[in-house]
Amino acid sequence: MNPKIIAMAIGTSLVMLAATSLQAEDGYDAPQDWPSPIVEHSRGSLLVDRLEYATPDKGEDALVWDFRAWYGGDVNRVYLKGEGENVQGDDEAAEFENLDLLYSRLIAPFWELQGGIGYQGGIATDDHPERYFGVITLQGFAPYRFETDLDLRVSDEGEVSAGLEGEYDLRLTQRTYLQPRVEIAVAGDDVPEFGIGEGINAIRTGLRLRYEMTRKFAPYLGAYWEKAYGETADLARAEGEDVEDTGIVAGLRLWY
Amino acid sequence: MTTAKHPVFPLTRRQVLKGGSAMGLGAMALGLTPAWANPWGQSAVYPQGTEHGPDVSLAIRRETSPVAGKAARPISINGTSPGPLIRLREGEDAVLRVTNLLEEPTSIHWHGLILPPEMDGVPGVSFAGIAPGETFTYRFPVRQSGTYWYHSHSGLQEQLGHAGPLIIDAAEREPFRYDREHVLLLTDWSFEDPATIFHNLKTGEGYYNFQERTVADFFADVERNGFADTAAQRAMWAQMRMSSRDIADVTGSTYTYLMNGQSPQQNWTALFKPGETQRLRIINGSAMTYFDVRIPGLTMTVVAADGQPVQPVPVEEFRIGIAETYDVLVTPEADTAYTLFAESMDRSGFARGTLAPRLGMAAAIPVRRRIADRGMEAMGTHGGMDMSGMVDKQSMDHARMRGSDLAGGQNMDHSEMTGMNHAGMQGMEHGNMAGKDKMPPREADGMLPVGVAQPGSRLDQPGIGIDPRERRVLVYRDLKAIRPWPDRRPPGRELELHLTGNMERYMWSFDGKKFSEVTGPIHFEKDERLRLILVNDTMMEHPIHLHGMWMELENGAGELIPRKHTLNVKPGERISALVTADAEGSWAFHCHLLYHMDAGMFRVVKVA
Repeated sequence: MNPKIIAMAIGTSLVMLAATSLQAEDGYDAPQDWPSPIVEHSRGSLLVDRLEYATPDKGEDALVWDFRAWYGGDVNRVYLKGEGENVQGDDEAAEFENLDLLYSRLIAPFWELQGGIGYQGGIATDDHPERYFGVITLQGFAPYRFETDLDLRVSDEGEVSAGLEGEYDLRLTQRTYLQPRVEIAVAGDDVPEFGIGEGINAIRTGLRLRYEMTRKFAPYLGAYWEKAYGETADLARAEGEDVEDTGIVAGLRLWY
Repeated sequence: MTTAKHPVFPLTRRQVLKGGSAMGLGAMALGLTPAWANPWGQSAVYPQGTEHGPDVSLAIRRETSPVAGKAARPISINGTSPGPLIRLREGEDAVLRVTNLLEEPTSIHWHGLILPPEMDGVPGVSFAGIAPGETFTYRFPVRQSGTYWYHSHSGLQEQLGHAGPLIIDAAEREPFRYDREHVLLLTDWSFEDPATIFHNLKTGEGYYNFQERTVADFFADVERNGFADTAAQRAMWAQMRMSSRDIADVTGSTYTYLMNGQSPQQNWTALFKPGETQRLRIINGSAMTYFDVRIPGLTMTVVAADGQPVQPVPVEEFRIGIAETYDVLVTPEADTAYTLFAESMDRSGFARGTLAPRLGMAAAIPVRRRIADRGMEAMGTHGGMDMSGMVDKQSMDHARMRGSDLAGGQNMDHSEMTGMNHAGMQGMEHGNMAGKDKMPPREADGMLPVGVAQPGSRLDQPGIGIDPRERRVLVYRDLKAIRPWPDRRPPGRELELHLTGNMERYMWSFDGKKFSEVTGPIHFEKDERLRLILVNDTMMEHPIHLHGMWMELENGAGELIPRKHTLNVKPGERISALVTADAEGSWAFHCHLLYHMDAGMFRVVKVA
């Protein structure tokens, strides 16, 4: 990963955070050496939404993860989001489908607009092709309680792609949730190196049954179905891969 | 009646008996049980444990001591947590020396006392706070009487038991008689660190709520109300991304509710002689919990609210907001035990004690009620009084940003929901809204006459989860002063503040701005008489506390409006209070839900 890009992104985010805290004022004329009656602290949180072992019908087993971590205040935050997998038995190291470092701002009560850089490729190995993105994400809680993540990416080669993820928690009991989930990937360009064709790439949908042993530790079981479309499907066929697959997952949802 | 029925706690008979002896006097010396929680009350039989004024020294420590029989590290005051009863006398000059033996700064705020601003004990507003190892001496003339309390105003220390009762004996005879008195300080204790609780509230919505609606509730409602109604109701809540079961942010899932520092199992016991009139001084010293208090089998006569005498109101139950105090009289005639029952508003737990003629007795513990679902009123359907004003007053940006629309102010079409016309701010006919106060005539200056309740108030309703048809419940409308308060001027102006929040981010504020975002204090002109209008745009109750000055609650009692230091504002409600701004200086003004205050629902009022 290009260290210059990372440094720039971190720098920009920190400046924006600092600028925000400078705006805050105590709001009244108390002596300088008195503390503020209400002190706001920045905080951080990590959500590992999915850490699961997937067993597909046709493909290889894989360890899959999907996490998001943030640090900041109520309005301005820095996010690190990562989604990836390690396909078992392919003798290749793990790879990130995306690893995004984003500055985030609350723009409406339930919505954050995020922007930054993204990375796709292997983790510290050359097993997988790599590329970088400029990323803009709208993350939020849509009406009717849908967790939504819509992102638009432009790669360092100018390739445009977009992704939509949606999750819904149906509360069966106070600790048991049924979570339908859908992911749609769309691309504006062919990127054969990554097995991507123009148009709708793939739809992945799943259903997970989660039990919250605590709010922060919740094992789950689930199943999913995925299908590649159009030119993406053609590319997959050419590679001898399946265009449609189903599978079961077992995993953990964790947060701090 | 000596054998206890424990429908909630599966105790064996032996455990019950052990519990019985544990509440004996001997056990009082153990742990940090405050001595003022003595079973014989303040009848001069066992006065130890009370710090009598005018000179009082208090040492604040963090120490290891069990709470509810489990290992804990509360903050103690003179060795007990909650702290000792401080007893002052009206007319004397109090000298209270507070020594900080913590490793962090601390403070004590004397809640409800009218005193000089530098003695009010709010770090950053009244003084610099008390540094570790330092002693701060509070000196103030005591010019009032009644039941009050004191607590830390530093960070989240209050949650660790840094609180205690404060009683001021009246110089003149009070307008009621009693034989014996007991103090009931209600608190909420958690074995979690307060900072962890705050983090959980900030990062996980509904973290402590284990009474949310489930699929089963949906089907039950379909059976009761039909599919169409149920689906429409649920869709509305879902559309707004809110929970109708959002009654308490922090619940019995982490809290152990305490009465005088004792858990329900420990069963703190107050003793009485049959036929004697008991004065119960009930203080809600909790961080986050509204309690509904009752004593099955006894009628309570409310004689004071927030330390100020009121005309007697016989009730079977009353809701006590955080930081409020009520004095009630009860006269148990039978030689039997009565349960002092304080159920949390969300029904997730309760504090419990016993009023008994002898130690070791217990009465049945009432079955807890089910959590209620919030209805339309929580969504800001208070007649649309503020809907136009709200958007006008704030920039759209803030209203959207800080989630004023959380209460449904913007995302919803109110006229459609309530079927009402919201054109006018005032002067509308509210006859079709249940419990709405009748619209009074307007005065020439456009302001309501003194003492009249605001349209949009629900002062004749007890609030969520209480059914007034079940038993006689106290409502704010019942509170009437014994005689008019000295300042009878009509208000010279009105000041309207909106209680706002973003539940999802756990941001709480006034007028859409957290304390960190406001640039100046709220200005009161010295000696002006003003009407403070509080409009709750959120779907939570907020106990709003003004330091340094009384708020005379305009509840429709005309000249006999009661005065309070803490006003509970229900979701979607609009209420008003008259304030005489006679206390020059800077004062805190905030929501007394501890984590709401810490999240930004705090302002400074400057009287100059």
